[in-house]
Amino acid sequence: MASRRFHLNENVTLMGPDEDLNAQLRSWKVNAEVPPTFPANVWRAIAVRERAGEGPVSLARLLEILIGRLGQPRYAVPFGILALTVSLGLARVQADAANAKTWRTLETRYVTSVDPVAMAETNR
Amino acid sequence: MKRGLWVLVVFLAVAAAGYGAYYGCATASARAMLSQPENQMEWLRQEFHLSDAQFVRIQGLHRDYAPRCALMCGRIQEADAQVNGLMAVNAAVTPELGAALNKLAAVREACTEAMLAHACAVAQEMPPADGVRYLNMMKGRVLAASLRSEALFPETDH
Repeated sequence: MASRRFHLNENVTLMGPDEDLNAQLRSWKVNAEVPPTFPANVWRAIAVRERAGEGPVSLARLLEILIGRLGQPRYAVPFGILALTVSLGLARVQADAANAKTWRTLETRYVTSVDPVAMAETNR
Repeated sequence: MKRGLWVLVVFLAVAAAGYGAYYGCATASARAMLSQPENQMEWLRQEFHLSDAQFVRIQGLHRDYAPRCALMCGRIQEADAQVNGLMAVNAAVTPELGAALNKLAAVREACTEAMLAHACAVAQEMPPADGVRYLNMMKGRVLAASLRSEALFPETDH
């Protein structure tokens, strides 16, 4: 059996005895255009497969992901607004409670200053 | 990751500063009142929306009443000490203890009447709606004290 040597070139031609096939292959030109979203889609698919291969996300890993996202303005700005809103809301609630307690203390002081019975109980 | 960490630290620091600033400002007025002398009168002025003239008149009523109030307080404490002394000697309701309890109750009743009379005089100097609210507050306090007193010293036969 005669050996046939096959070479691959740009047009993917097989240089062998079948000249019709060779001619047809030479005329075959592939004009492939890569869509602009192709690289991103590939990386996304890789990420999905990698995530699917992982077990449940640990808290440390979750924090790492979240903190990593904070480097981007589109995550950092909402986070900053949320943090400030929560802190101011908490301050408002606690300030209201503190003021109410102070007011009750002042009310008791007034009543004690005019009620001898309350004054006597305070001095007991 | 490093940048995200810095962002987190900075935002948490800003949030903490915001908390401190808001809390400090919101409670500054009340805390200042707490540290003033005669702060109970300032509380009265703000709580019952007293004008300057009303506040001055009520301060005058309070100054006139204060010595009587202290005197009555002393009488209550004397009667209370007498009851405690008798009970320390003999843990039983003797005639002497009964008399001391009656005296304590009478002193407390007289003091309560005097206090309510003062409260009525103060209420008349206030805006009408605030005066009613003030009297209700004082009556509520008197009632609460009376209930505590009855729990401790049930009424004895005269």
